[in-house]
Amino acid sequence: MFYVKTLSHEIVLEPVHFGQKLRATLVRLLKEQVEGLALANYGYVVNVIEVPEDQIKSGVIEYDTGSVIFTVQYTALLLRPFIHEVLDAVVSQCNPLGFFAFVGPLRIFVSKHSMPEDMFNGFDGEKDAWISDDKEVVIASGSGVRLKIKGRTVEQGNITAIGTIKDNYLGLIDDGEAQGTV
Amino acid sequence: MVEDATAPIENVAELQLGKEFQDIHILSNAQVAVILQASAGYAVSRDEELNDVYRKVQRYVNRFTSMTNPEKEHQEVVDELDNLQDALTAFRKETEDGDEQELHPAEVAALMNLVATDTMVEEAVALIPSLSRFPEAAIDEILDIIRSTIIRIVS
Repeated sequence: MFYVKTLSHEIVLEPVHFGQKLRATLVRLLKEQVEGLALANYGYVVNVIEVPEDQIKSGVIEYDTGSVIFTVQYTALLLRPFIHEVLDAVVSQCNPLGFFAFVGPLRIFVSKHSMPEDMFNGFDGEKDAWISDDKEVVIASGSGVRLKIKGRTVEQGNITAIGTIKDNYLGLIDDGEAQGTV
Repeated sequence: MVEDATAPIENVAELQLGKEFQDIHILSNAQVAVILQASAGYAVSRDEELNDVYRKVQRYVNRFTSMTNPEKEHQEVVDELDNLQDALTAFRKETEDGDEQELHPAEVAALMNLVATDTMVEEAVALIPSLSRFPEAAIDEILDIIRSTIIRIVS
């Protein structure tokens, strides 16, 4: 789910940046350091929406290096998977254990145990797709699927979620052909 | 670090988001698309590159928003979406005890993301279990509000 929250971040500024454009430099550095980052509890920082001017307090000089540490508060647009939420995702890769789908930068794995009974044995290695017994449902790279989040892990700066399409009204939405490459 | 199943459980189906997420502002895909579009224009005007995560999210929201119409005036769509969100947030239903029930922001966002013109009450409750606290008639009303907005935007 996408949400907006105020977060704070420490920026270390070297003296070479001091001058009239100090604030602008701080904002630029903040965006460079924080946008795209996966924060363990808050999710991916998609975009820095605003850095209120009055929230940039005075910096503290670090005596060892001469640099100044600024604690900056900013409003960010974040993406975080919440347990039991239902999301639409784009399938990227199928393998014999299940398939990977993405919601933007967020990777979600759906194991074959979380697929409906009639898809459990449906992995087709040649087509690289999961196909139901009646051949009606084909989940391949580029397909859109509706899934429910069951769990979440954070590793090496990336967030991976575990999903299921076993429940009612979940599963294939479109085959992605009308969308072009994702 | 795997989430400990015995920790205070986060379960959006029961509207428990965790204590740090009590006062957040939740957005639907369509609203995110609007924010990113504005931000992209700003970045391009300053000749900044858009980062990878940003572009992935932009592709995602542009693909999965049922409430868009490239032929319509952008501002018109934005206004319709704002009106829809206001209508859903302001939705109130009196229960038998005389208390008022309202939609949680997570439900509003989920409804705006998942509901299409042919969504029925049964599907809505399956996808958003916390809606079951409303009587069926109320859910139908909610779906109607969304349905008419989608039709207005898409036509």
